[in-house]
Amino acid sequence: MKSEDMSIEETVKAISNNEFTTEEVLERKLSRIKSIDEQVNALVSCNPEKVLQNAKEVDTKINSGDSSALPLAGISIACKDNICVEGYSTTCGSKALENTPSPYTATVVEKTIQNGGVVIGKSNLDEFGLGSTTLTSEYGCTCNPLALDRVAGDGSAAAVASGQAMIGIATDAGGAVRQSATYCGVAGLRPTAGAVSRYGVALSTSSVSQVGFISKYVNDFNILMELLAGFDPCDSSTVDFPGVLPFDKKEKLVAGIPEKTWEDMDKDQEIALQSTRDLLNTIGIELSSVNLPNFKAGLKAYYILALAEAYSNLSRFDGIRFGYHYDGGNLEDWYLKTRGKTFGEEAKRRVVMGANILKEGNFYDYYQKALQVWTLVKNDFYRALKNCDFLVLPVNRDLPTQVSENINFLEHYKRDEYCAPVSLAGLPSISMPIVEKDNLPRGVQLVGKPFQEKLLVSIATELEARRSYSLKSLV
Amino acid sequence: MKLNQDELDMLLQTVKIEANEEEATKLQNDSIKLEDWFASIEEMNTEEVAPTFYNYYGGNVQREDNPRVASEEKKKKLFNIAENFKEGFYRVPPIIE
Repeated sequence: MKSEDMSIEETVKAISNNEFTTEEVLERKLSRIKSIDEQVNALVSCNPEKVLQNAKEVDTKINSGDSSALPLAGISIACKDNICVEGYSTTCGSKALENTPSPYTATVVEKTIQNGGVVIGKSNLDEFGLGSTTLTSEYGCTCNPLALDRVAGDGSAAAVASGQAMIGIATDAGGAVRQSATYCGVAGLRPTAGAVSRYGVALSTSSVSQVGFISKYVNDFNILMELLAGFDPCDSSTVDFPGVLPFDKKEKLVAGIPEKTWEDMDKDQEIALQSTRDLLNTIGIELSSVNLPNFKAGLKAYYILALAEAYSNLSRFDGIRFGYHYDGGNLEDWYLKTRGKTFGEEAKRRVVMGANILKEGNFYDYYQKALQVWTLVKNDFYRALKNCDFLVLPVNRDLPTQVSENINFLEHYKRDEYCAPVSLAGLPSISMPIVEKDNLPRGVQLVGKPFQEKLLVSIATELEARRSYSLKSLV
Repeated sequence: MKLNQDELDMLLQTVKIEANEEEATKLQNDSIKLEDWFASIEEMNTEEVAPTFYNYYGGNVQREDNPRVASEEKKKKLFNIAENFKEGFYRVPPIIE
């Protein structure tokens, strides 16, 4: 088996058996990046010298008899460019942060490196992470490795799908990890809120964003959660236990299927849902109807919060402490010009509309209302999960957008319809492709109870083994 | 929610973003679209529903505020990325010319 086709477990085992070295694995990844990233544009930055130096350090530790302490040895990681990694800039896909060095390394990346993982590069994203297409990135759009005329959604997913990295570490607010993974034919995990540290991560929608993972193989998520989840003294929003519950296999599992037809959904996505229901039947999982009456309102509540939080969270980008700036005559001109000339259209829209939502006269009608709808949406999920072990939901409403397509901003927002309510509920979710048509995957997301990522991985592994889909990158 | 020219000018001043005429027109149009889109949520009955403000085990949570002092090394790294940091202060242009 080639190292490109291996899971984390297989790669680490092969390295410890001296089948190849970490340096050799990383050299192959760098060569892959060199040959295809011009077409895909998954990575914003990559420093081959640093990558090889880090790989050599891992090999040195292994040769000194330390391999058991490195359960991620040889694993190449693409980190979304809103996650700080010392030695790399963190641009958040914006001109406002062009060439801004990371002052420290995010906890989740620090843990990855301590376990033998090597950061292969920083991956592309929408400006400040405000979207799931990369169409608003200062560094151009990331193309889908399965269909280069379509978006990938997120650079990390494209990097994993095209073999430039084994694992993607990315952020998911309204669904970036889950949607992009399915767009690119790989798997995405959004962990339970509070399970994985967000220290060192620049978030625009901070109340619901989580750090998630992307991989070709769902089983990798168990290893990543065991190693990377848990309490972080630098992030008070993390839980004070290891962050993932052990999974006791039950005799009979029940899948909750929402009692509603998914309006406006591409009919091929419905085929993925039906196929999943059939596969679950095959593996002996009982299907049960559940009701999520406020699901549809979740998207709008999410966007009210996202706009308000963008206004607040982007206020720090003024070019004084870090980032790009335009000189003005006085401080006021400095602010106006710096933010006016470096923020893109979507960032400006979110900041202005966020301020509008929070102003007197709108606050109670919109912001307060959204916080209350958040409660309703969350309660629906918790009620539904009392009678089942996990839920099966769609992940994408449509196929990935065409790169050249000019879509109204609201249409982009509506693409988060199935992921944003799950984000509000703070529950773990795995998205994965199930079927394909015209080489484009259609998938589902499995949504579990808090900290039951391992149960989701176990079910997703069964689906992975039986689904008709198999990844075939175009490039 | 819908913004007239004066309201937009005031907001642009508040958020410290310079916008040209074309951008300003777009933002006004966007405010109309968002008002229409959010209309259904305004109509929802949320009387006696407690707001959620953070998700943690499915409920709101507030922890003790335990301020920590950042390490000198970390502080130095942060100051170093500023273009104009001298003698313990970020230097900015004059507030009044």
